[in-house]
Amino acid sequence: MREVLLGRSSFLKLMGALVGAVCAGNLIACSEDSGSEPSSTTLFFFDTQCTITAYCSEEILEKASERCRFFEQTFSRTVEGSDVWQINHAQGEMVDVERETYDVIAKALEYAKVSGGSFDITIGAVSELWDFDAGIRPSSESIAQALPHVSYKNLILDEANCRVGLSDPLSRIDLGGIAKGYIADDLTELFKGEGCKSALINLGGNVMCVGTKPDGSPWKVGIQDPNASTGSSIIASVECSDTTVVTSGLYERHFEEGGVDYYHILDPKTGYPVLTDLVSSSIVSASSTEADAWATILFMQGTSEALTTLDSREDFDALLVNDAGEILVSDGTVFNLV
Amino acid sequence: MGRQSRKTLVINIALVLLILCACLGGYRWYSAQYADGASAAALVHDADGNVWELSLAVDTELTVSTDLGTNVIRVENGEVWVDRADCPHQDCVEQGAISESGQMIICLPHELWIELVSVDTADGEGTAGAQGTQNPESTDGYDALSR
Repeated sequence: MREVLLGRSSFLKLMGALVGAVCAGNLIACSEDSGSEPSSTTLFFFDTQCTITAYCSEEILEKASERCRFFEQTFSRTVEGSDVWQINHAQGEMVDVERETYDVIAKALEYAKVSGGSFDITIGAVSELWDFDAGIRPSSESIAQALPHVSYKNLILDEANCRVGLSDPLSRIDLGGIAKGYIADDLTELFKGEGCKSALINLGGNVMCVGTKPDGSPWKVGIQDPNASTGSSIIASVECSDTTVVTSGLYERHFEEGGVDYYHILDPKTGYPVLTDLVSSSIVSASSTEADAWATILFMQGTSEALTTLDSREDFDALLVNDAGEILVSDGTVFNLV
Repeated sequence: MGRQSRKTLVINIALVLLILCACLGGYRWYSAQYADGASAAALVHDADGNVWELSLAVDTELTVSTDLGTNVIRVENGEVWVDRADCPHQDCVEQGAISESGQMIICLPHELWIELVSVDTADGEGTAGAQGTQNPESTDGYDALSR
């Protein structure tokens, strides 16, 4: 009989042990991959779907949900009794408002001034005439009647008493251009205050990344191709940690009538959808309020003026897509083009 | 160690490695059968918090009714879509059919949404891994889309 180092029995035992070790290793690896699971909730507020994912307790997530309900009841111009509704129906009287309402209107006023009025929350007098979901276009006469009442200069703020008013009783506030950004920042403060270091807030495409993922890697946010149908194509991505990505685009709400496309971003100077060569603008910033406002402002400016603006600002990055299909990004960009 | 013994040792080790590789290869092949896109499911969420899991491999029709309204969802030939609904603007119907993990259909008035997930992430309860994750066409995966 030839000599062998391993007898049959020993060989089988060794093989079994090795196979078992490999299988166990794979199973452990799999369980580690699905390890710490986040909590998530999906809500329908602010006329959009909102998804909040966080590595924290359900109680904290419920607080975030409650916060969203608070803002829905406070900021909505259509919810009777909300702060905005009350301001809009106060016939020029000053209205006691929540601190958050005062803050967001004060911020909106700053952006109105810096943009020369192209960002103006008193667009409400005109925006309430349009219905982009139902495809309703107001008459030119009704727009002409409402337009004189669009002016941020009608806003009166009483900081000491937390009161807001409109000097023109026919002016109307619409926070649609800044509300989601403000709310995302508020939720970020909530999570951080509760010790939650990892969360992803998505308010209808207004994305805020709180911290990093638990493994330390950044969140990855995709920028949708404005020329494609919803969710079907990505043109760029951003790796985010304590940053927000906000996009203004034509495709979100629009309708066609008589061969003309009417988009939901209205020009405060005309009362009609803005005439611009941009089809979308995406902002990356530490502040979602800022990103929300500037995404609209750059969109209103158009490519040339927007690029000039970007040259003078270092507090945010931008990706612009124009109607020629060109993708333009700010210097030192954080965007990874696909 | 003699020449014969060394040869035997090498043969033994080679046999063990060969068997290990076969086991690993078989495991990877088995896992690959459930890779993204090979076996997807549609998770249908309604306003009442109910969640239905519909395999895209099985043609079916699901009617979801809540106080907000009714949507009829169809699965056929590996795709899912809202066939009809009584929402005012029919956006969910006009979104058409979806078939890839990460895609989503939303009916805002009815607070209903349909998300596609791979089978190994679908536990019938609407998994956190699928929430807020949209990866329509890239294999890299995105945690959220800005639009």
